[in-house]
Amino acid sequence: MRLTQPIRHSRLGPLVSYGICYLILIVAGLIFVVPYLLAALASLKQLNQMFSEPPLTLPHPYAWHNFVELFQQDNFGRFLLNTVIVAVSIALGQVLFCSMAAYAFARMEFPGKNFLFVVFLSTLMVPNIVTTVPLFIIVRDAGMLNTLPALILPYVSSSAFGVFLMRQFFLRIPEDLISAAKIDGASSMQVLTRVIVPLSRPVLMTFGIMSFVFGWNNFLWPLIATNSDSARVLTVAISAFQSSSGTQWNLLIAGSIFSLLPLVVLFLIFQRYILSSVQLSGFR
Amino acid sequence: MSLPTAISAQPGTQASGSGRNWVRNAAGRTPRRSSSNHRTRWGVAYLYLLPCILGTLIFVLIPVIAVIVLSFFHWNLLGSPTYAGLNNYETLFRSSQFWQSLRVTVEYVVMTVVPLVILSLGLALLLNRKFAGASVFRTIAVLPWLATPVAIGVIWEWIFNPQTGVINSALAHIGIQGPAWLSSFAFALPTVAFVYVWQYLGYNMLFFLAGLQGIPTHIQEAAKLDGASRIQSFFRITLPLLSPTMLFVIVIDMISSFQTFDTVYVMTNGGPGAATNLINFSIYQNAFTYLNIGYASALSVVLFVIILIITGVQFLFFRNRLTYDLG
Amino acid sequence: MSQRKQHEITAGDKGRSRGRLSGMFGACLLFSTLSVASVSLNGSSSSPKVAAKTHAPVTLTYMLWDPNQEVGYKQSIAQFEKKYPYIHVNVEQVTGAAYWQKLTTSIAGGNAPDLFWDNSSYFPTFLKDGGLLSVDQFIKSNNVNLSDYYSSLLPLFKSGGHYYGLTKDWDTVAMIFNKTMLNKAGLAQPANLTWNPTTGGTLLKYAEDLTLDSSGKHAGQPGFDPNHIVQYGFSPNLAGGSWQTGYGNFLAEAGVTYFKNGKWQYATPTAVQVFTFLNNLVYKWHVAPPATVTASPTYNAVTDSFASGKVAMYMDGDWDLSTIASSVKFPWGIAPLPSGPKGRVSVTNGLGINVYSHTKNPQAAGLLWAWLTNKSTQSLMSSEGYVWGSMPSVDSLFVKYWSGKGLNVSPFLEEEKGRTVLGVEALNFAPAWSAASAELNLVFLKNVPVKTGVYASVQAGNAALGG
Repeated sequence: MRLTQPIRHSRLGPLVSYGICYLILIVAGLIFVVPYLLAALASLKQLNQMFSEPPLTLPHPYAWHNFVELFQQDNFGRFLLNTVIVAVSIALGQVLFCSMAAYAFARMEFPGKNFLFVVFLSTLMVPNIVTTVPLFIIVRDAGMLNTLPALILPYVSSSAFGVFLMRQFFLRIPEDLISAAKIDGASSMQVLTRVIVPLSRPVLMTFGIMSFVFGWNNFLWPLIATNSDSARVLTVAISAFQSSSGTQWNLLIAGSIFSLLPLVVLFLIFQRYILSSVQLSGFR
Repeated sequence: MSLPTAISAQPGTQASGSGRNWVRNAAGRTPRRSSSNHRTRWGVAYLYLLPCILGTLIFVLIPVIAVIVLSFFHWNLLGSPTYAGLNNYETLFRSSQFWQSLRVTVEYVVMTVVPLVILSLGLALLLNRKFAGASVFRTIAVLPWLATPVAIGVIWEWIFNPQTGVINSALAHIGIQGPAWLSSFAFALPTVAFVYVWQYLGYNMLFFLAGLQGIPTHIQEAAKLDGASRIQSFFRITLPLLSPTMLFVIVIDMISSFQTFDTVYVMTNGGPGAATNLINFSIYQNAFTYLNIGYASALSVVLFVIILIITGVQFLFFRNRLTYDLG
Repeated sequence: MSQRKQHEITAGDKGRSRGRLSGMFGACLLFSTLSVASVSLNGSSSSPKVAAKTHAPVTLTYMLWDPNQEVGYKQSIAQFEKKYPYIHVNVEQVTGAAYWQKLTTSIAGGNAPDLFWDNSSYFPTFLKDGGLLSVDQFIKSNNVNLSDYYSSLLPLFKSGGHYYGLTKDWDTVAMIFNKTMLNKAGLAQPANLTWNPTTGGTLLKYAEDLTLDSSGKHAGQPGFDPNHIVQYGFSPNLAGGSWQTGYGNFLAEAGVTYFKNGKWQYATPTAVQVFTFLNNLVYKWHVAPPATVTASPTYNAVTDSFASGKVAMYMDGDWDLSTIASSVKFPWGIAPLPSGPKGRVSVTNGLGINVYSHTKNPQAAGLLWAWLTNKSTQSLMSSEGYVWGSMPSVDSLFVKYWSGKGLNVSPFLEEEKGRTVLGVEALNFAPAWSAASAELNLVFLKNVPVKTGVYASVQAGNAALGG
C-alpha cells in the first residue's frame, strides 16, 4: 500500500513515479544480490584478514588457496561428485516416473483414478520432518544408511507435485494428435514417447531443473542418513564446517559459494524454464 | 523452507486447493475421451503408475502411519519399543518447552508470511508496469529462490555477525551500535525470518505478477471511467480479482514456512535459549540427538495436525471470497 | 558384487534397446539406471573380498571433530598405513553440534565409525546404548603401559572394571591476552590476577584499564561512556554452554561443587554470587561484552571477538591455540587463570578414542586404536602443537613447539599439575545439558533474576538426567 501512495500523489506526471519505482527496484535488487557478492569477496580472504579488517576491504592477498584447501584437505571433490550424482538421479528419476504416472492420470481410464489422484495430492501436505523418523528406520533396516541410494530412493518416485504438474500439461495436448497416433497403430508407450514427450519438453525441463535443485539443496535427510565422507553431500559438508572451537569463516564461506555458484549458472542458462514454472503450475 | 517444500509442497497445495477443480475437470472430460480410449486396459495404467504408487506408499504413506503408531511408544531406536499409551502426548502438552516451541513457530510463520505477501504483491504491482530493466530485476529477484538454504544461511550468519559482519560495521559508521542479531532473544527469530523472506520474495512475486497479468485491463479502465482512484481500484477490483493467487501464495508460504529447518540449523541451532526452537527443529533434536523417538513422533503428529487444520481453515475462509474468480 | 554389476548392465541394455524412444525420454531412463548402478557400486565398495593374502584389505573409519588435529592425525595415520599396508583409514571430520548428533544417530543406525573421539560426558550414554567395545584386549595385545598416562585421566573412560578408551590428550583453560592492548594501557603481563565476587579483585582493575570507550576513556574513569565501548577488557564466555571455558572455572575457584552423586549441585548461594559477579562484569562494571555477543549458539564468538581486536583478554582452552594463531594479526600471550576465593582451579578434560562395538574389523580397529593412543602419535600431536598428549613424558614437546612461535604455554601445564575439576559423566547427558544450559542462558541474557535462573537450571538439568 505504501508503494502505491507516491504514485497517486505525483503531480509531476509519470516521470516522478517512474523514478520512485526505479529507486525501490534498485534497492530491492541490491538486497537480492549483495549477499552473493559479499560472500564471493569473503571467500577469497585469509582468516586473519576477515577478523582484522572491515568486511568491505578487498582481499589481500587473494587467498585462492581457500578453494584449493577445500579440495585437497576437505575432500570437496568427493562431496561435489556425490551431490551431482544425487541431484541428477533424483531429477532424471522424477521426470521419468512422474511423467509415466501423469500420463496415466491424464490419458487413461481405470478404476480408482480420482481416488488415487486425491491421495497423491494429499501427500503434499505431509511435512518432510514428519516422515523422517520412520524413513530412518526403513533405510536402516534395509542396510542402506550412509549410501547414496539412501539419498535418492526416497524421492525418486514420490513427487506428487511432479505428477500434478505434468498431468496438467498433458491434459492440454490435443486429443486429435493422440488419436492420430493410435490410428497409426501406436502402443500406449509409443504415444507417450513419440507424441506426448516431444510436445512436453518445456514442462519436462522445468520439472527436471526443479528436481535437480531440490536434490542439490536437500539437507535434513542427508544430515540424518549419512555420516561418512563417502556419502556426504555439499550441504552437510558446509554445515560441518561450523565449529564450536574456532570457525574457519573463510573456508565456510568458500564452501558455501561452491554450493551456490552452480545454481546461479544453472539459473542463468535455464531462466526461461525456471520462470515458467509459475505459469505451468496453473496460474495465468 | 528447504526446497523440498518449494517443490513438493508448495505448488502442491495449490494442487490440492484446485484439486477438486481438476478432478471435476477430469470427470467432465471423461465421457468424451472414454470412447477413444476404449481399448486402454486399466492394467496398463497401473503399470505406468506403479513406480509412483510404490514410492509414495513406502516413503510417504507408510511413514505417516508409522509415525502415528510410534507416538504411542517409548523407544530410543536401539532396544525394542515399549508401549506408552498417551504418555508422550501427556509429557508434550505439559512441557513448557513444547508451548514455547509452538509459540515461536507461530510467531515465525507470521513474521515470514505477512511480509512475504505484502512485499511480493508490492513488487509485483511495481513490475506490472512496462519499463526497461523489468526483466533484469525479475531475474535478480528470483535468484535467491534457488539458493542452497544451508549455504545462504551461513552467508547471512556472517553478514549478521555482531562484530565482524557487514551490517554492524556499516551501522558503526553512522554511530549506531548494531544488536547481536542472531544471539539475542529479541532479534534472533526476526533475523531468521528475514532470511526466509529474502529467499522467497522474488518467487512469490512471480505468482502475483502472473495473477495481475491475468486481470483483463478493460475492467480497470471501466473503473477509471467511473471515477475510481488508483487506491479504490486497487482495493475494489485488483485485490478481489487476485484472491485465488492470494490463497495459493498464503497457503504455500505457510506450509513451507512451518517446515523451516536448514537456516535455523546453521544460523542459530534453535538458540539463543529456545528463541528459535521451531517445532520442526525440536522434532529433529528429540529424534536424532536425544533418541526420544516416541516423543519426537508425538510432536510430528501434532505438527501434521496443525498444518492440516490451518490449510483447511484457509480454504473455508477463502471459499466465500473466490466468487470474483473469472475462471 | 560381480553379479550385481551384471544385472545393472542388462538393465542398461534394456534401456538402450528401446532405440526408438524419443531422445530425452530414453536418455532419462538410461542415465537414471546408470547412475543408480554407479551409486550402488559405490555404496558397496567396502564389501569384503575373498582373502587372497594372509590379510584381507580392511578399511577403517575414524571420526573426529577438530579440523586442526585432523591434519596431525592424518600424518600419524600415513605411518600406520605404511606399517599395515592392508589397512586403509578414512579420517572423517564433523564439527560442532553435528558431531554428537551424527555419532548418536549412527550408533542407533548400526553403522557408526570404527573409531571415534568421545567426551567423558557422553561416554555413559554410548556405553549404555551398546555402542562401545572394551579396549582391555587391545591394551593387552599391544602391551600398552598404563603407567605412561596421566593417572588422573585413566578413569575417564573406565566402567565396571573395563577400559573403553584411554585419553588421547588433556586440556586446561587459561587466560589469553592481546599484548598490544596491554602495552598501550601500560600494563604488565597478568601473571597473578585475582578475583572475588564482591569487589572484583585485580582482574576487574585490569579489565577496567583495558576497556575503552570511543573517546579513549577507560572503564571506571569519570566520564566513561558505557554505551560506546570500542574495546572490552575481558570476555568471560557468558553462555549457558560455556562451562568448560567460562563459568565452570569461576564456580570451582569459589568452592562450589558443580556435579556430584549423579546430580548438578550448583543451586547454592555461593554459585548465585558467582553468576551475579559474571553478570556484573557486563552490566555493572561495563568491562565485558554482553552475552548477546558472546553466546552464539553456532560458533565460538568469543575467539572471534578476540581475533577481531574487540576484546583484550578472554579464557580459552589449549586446543584452540592453533585456531587463535591462524586468526590473529597481533602479538598475544597466555597467562594463568585469575585465582578466586578458594585459589586457582581449572576445568580439565581428556578426550578419548573409543572403538565401535559393531566394528566389522575389531582386529584392525584394535591396531589402529593402539597406534593412535601410543607414544609416537602422542609425541607427534604434541610436537606439532596441536594438543597436549595424555602422557607426562610428551608435555615438553608441546612447550617446545609453541616457544618456537614465541608463546609460553606453561600456564596450561601448571594448572594441570595444580587443582583441577573434571567434567560431568552421566547418562542422558545431551538433553540434560541442553535443558540446563538453556536456563543459564536466560541468566546471562538478563531475562530472569540470577537466583531463579541458576536454580531452574539445576532443576531442569537434573530432571532431564533422571528421565
